Amino acid sequence: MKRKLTAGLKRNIVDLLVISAAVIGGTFLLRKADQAGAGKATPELPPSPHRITEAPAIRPRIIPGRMDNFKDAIVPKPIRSWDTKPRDGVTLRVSPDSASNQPSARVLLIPPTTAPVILEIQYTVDESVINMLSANDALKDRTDGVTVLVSTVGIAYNHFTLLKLDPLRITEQRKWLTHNLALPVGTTEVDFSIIGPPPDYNVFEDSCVISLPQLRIVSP
Amino acid sequence: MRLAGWLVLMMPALWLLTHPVPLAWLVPLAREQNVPAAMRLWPLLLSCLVPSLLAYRDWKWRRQVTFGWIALLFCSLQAYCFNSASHPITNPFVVWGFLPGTDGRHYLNGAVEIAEGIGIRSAFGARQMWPGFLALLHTWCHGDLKLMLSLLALMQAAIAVTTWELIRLMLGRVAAFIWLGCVALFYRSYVVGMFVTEQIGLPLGMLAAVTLLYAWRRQSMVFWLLGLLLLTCSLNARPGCYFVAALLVAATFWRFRHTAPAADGSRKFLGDLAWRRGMIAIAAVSFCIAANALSFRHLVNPPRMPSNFWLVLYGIAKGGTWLDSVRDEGRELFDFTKVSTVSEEELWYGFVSRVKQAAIKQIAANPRMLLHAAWRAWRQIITKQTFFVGEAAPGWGILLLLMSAIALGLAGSKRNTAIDDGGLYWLVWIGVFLSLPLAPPWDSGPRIYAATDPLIWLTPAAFCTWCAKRLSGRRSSRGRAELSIANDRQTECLELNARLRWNSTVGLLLVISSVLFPSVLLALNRNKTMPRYSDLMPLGTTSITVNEIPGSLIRRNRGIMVGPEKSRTFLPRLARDDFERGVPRGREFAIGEFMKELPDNSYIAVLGRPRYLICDRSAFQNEAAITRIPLQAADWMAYKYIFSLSSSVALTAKQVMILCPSSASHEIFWKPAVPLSGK
Repeated sequence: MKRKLTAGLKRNIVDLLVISAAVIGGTFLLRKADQAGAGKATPELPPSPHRITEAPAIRPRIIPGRMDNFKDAIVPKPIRSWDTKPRDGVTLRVSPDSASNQPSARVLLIPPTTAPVILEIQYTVDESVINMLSANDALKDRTDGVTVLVSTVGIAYNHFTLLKLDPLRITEQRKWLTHNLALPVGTTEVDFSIIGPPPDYNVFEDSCVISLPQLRIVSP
Repeated sequence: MRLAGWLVLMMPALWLLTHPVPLAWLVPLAREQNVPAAMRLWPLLLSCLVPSLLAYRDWKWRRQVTFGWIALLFCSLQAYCFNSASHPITNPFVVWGFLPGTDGRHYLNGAVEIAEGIGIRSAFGARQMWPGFLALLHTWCHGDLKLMLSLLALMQAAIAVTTWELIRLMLGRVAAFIWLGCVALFYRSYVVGMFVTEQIGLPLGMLAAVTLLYAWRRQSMVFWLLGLLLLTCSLNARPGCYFVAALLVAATFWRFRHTAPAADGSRKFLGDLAWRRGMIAIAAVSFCIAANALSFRHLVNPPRMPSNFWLVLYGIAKGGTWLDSVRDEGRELFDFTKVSTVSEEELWYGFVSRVKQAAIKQIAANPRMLLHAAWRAWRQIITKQTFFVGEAAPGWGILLLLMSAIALGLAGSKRNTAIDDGGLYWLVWIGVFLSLPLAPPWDSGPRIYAATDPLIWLTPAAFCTWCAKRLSGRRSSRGRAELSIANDRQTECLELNARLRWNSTVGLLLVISSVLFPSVLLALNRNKTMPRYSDLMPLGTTSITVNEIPGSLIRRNRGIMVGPEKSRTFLPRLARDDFERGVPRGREFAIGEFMKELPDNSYIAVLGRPRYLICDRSAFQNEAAITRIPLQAADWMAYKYIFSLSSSVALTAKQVMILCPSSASHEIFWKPAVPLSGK
């Protein structure tokens, strides 16, 4: 009986050794063969096109261009807000009223940038809007700040930047804010769009004034 | 010499898994839509017939050649995934024929969490056996998904060979063909290329089926207990028809009863029953269940989610499917237009707990729905031949169902025409039919029967044996020598014992590897310092805090690389057209659309939790990932749970709008996509 048990145990140990050897050998062979096989399937790849080294950006005083809302041309108008000095700007607004709904604007650069350029963006929420929302708690509760997606479109690759502000709750933001956006070489346009970021996608009563001090509107 | 023979004959299978081959070689084995219906079945079945033909006479290299052939067959199905970047039946659980999707991703997450010493943070019920086994594989293969799938294919092939040999020895060549045909069809549809529980449920079920058949036939208590143990573990790994195990345990009392005459009537019947052996069987099964429960408590961190069985029960109570529970109770979880700030696990936990309460309430109020469900389930499995993968092989399914019905009928006939082991087949079918109301086929399809299907497949196989016996009986009466038959039987008996021992060792090793070893691995790695996938997104937080990914986590074959159009697809690299065809859909439709916009040579790696990392070639130097891959500012990403973007990935306007879908942004969203530098 004891001999039978010992023999059975021995056989099981041998089986385990065989299985272990098969797993180790199989893994080794698969690894080696996969390296060889992958070489046959994968052609030599070109270097990554995205390692672009650019010269330091310059800050021109004037950037010529046109502005539209993706359909019609728009002209910046003087807007006075938070201080006495009026600034030329456009108002982006999300509204159920189609006449005043203008969530997006675009600046077409003429000509496209030939060197890296800094574009100064001044932005704020109009004082009158803040006053109106502050006076109505129900409306105020439904808002959650404004987010503007700024995209640069060009021959190279696109940049995206978010401008976030909530002057209704953050009193320090009740002023004109500034963002310096670097435009890569070959930028043809800069797009501005109010978006509702996740998780709520809320754009209720969102509005934002955008002023580009360097922009000089040119005629078509 | 013999060992070298095994190795040489395994080489074609290994070569198929690791080298690109013309897809036309593999298409006949797949179930492609553009192939005629007959062609989707017969090439596979004919391939399964070859081992039986090889066994017509025993010859020196037969076993090695049989193993080589079956390995080639199983590896061809896996190679189809690698060469086509799709699945033989386009199963949604696998993305691009490679990366795990939905359930598979969930199990891989669990495996990674065990392997990294964290413990599973989210699991539906006690389903930790498969993630546990996968954790060992993940550690062994250093996270190389392709190697893991290849080893799983070889494991399935090896178990198919050992069980095929046992079936051949016990039931004959034709029965072995039926067995292999059923296994291969099931494997093609629900196992190959996927990180799902069927990967372990099926092999354990196969090992259990042959062991139980042997034990039933020889009345061997040791093997009967082993078979019950394997079957219980198989059902723990892939829950399904539990009543089969219960009936087989109960059958122990009768099958292993005393044959000596005793008192009359009911006292005689009760006295004859094998009480001690029956109790041992109950103890063995209880031990399995207890071990599984202990493993669950050790591997899965609290709070532990209830099983998704409650979703099924809710569907039954409503006379529908599990989706009813989603419609009624899971709106917030399945609102695909939003990403909730609450963690996905927390949402699921709340959802399943709510459904559990609602399901119990509904069933208690209307228990007749269980009868209705029983009728629905029985009708469906017969009309669709669910156990024989009827959808994939309609004619074959009908034939096997018919053969099973005749076999069961013959089991009850007179002694000289009765089918052998008819009692076992009846018990299996009764167990399955009793289980069906609570394990219905409409929620997850035939795959949930992976553990018990092998027992079902024995019935048509036994019918073939019965037919063969009838025919050979006539033939032997015409002159075959009795002595020669006796010699053959003796040789077969020795071979059978050797095979069964091997079978048992493999089965026990699988059980230990999925119940005991994962706990050891977890304990070993708990306090170990290492870069962890699990750290990339701690439970309950978003990717906002994750600014970079350690390059050491981007391992070989951890993801796919998008090649140019019309280039050669061989995973992990795939042609643009194959890539676009296979992008995630359904719940992840928007992500799929996002991915379609990626330029050539983009790399999509699967990380821990439901998250992909998307990077371009600048994240790699000398074929290895850079030390730390910086991520783009992710606080505005809608699909933060699903992917992270390397900062070198340039986005198109459409991609940005997919990330931030907003009614105010439609002007840009619907604008034609701006060409990218990478394209």
